[in-house]
Amino acid sequence: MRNGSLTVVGTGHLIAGQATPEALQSIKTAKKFFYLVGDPATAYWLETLNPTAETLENSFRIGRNRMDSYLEMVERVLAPVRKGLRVTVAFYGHPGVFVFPSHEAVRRARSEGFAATMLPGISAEDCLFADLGVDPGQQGCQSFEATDFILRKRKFDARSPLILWQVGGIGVTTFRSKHLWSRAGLRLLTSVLRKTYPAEHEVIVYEAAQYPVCPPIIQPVPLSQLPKARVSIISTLYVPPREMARPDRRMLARLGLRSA
Amino acid sequence: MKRGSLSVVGTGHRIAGQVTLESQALIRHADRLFFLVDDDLTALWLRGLNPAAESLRRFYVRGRSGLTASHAMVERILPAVRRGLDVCAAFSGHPGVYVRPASEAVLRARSEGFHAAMYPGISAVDCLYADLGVDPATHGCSIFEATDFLVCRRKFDPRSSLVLLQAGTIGVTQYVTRSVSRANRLRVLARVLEQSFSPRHEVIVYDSVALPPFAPFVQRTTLAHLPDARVNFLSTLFIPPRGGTPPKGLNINACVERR
Repeated sequence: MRNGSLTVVGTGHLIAGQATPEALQSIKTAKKFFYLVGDPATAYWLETLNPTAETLENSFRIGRNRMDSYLEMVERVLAPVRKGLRVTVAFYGHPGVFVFPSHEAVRRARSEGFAATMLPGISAEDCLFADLGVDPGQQGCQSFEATDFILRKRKFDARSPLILWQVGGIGVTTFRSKHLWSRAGLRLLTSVLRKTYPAEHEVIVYEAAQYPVCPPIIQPVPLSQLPKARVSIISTLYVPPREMARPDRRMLARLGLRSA
Repeated sequence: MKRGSLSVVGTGHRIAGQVTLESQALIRHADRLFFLVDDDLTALWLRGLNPAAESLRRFYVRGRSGLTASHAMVERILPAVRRGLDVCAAFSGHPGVYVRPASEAVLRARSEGFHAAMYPGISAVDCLYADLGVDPATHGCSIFEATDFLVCRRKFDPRSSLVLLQAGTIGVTQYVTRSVSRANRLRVLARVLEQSFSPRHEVIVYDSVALPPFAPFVQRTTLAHLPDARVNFLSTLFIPPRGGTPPKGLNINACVERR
């Protein structure tokens, strides 16, 4: 194994509150530390943990393709690894969920013969599970990026919870500074969901809490009113099951089970 | 709001390494701590953080259903809340992911007029994403409890990731069991999956429970060989999307924008 290593960590969604000890340890002891987080308070806190701290945010530029920004981030992170340094990169939330440069940097570092690890963090989905009381172990849980959900006509089970990410930015690839990136996309999504769910089906527009004193945003709205709802680029849509699933008798028999 | 409160937290899957700072503070400062965790080292660490700690493990009795055990745990936790204490209940992983007593205790405490909150933790699925290098957002991801997946004949998209929880205990929790062996149940699962994937499709048996410095157990096999795999009662099964998982990035979005 070559000298130089990469550890990718997550900081959760509450400034320092959701960081894990293993992530903190890695941040503090890194010889070079990069971060990409959603708010200035988290950035400020991270800067105090390691004097080599450097933000990756300036790889984003208004109007630039996000993928180009991500690839630039990967190169910036790998440069000190190749020089033999122990590098840590922190992303907010879970570093492996909805983050392209993290997985790509780990893959690239490993392919070049360096040790690379990802440590899990608290994702926005984890916050949703806790805040809305949704347990994926009970009726399951299906999550899709909203644009991908529409374009690829994703198959899903309407008797199980459905979570759609980035509902405020459907069909948008460039970085923009407006609050809601695409209301037309929201209308399109609503018409797609209406094929499966009734107009009055109650959905929830959800945003995880960003700061310890602010509660999460939980906005219930009938599906038909979704295009008019207050949706931002960090909003997630939670669609509860349409009905309960009933056990299949033939499958119970095949498994040698009978209903409790 | 009445005096007395309940905070339900998760400790992740690496003893003390994955507990969030907010959860750690809640564990430490609670008047009374109840816990249900994977292993003795985590228990030892929790007792060190809070001397008023009590394990709930004894409520799992062989032959008694998980639901009954869960009710018994809630009955043990709530009297302390009713006495006006600030109570913390800590569970391995994420307390909202496949932990029945956690959500049941929160709902019950709230219905009795107490302040009750659940705090997110690092789940087995979070560990899986990190260790297997899977981004659930790339192709989408469906998570089902393995028995529920089979018995309710869940629909899913084979072009997305599929995570099946509790793959080693198909039929054990919610249903009364007749005698069909574990291997035979895995065979039924493999047959059902073969309606959507080729028998040569790679599947991964993943165990998130690993005591540092040991790495989690990752066993790669094919659908055809799944019934012979070493699957234990905490194993999670990961089925990659059909057509592999090439890092496609965000190119799809570009199509929409051009239209």
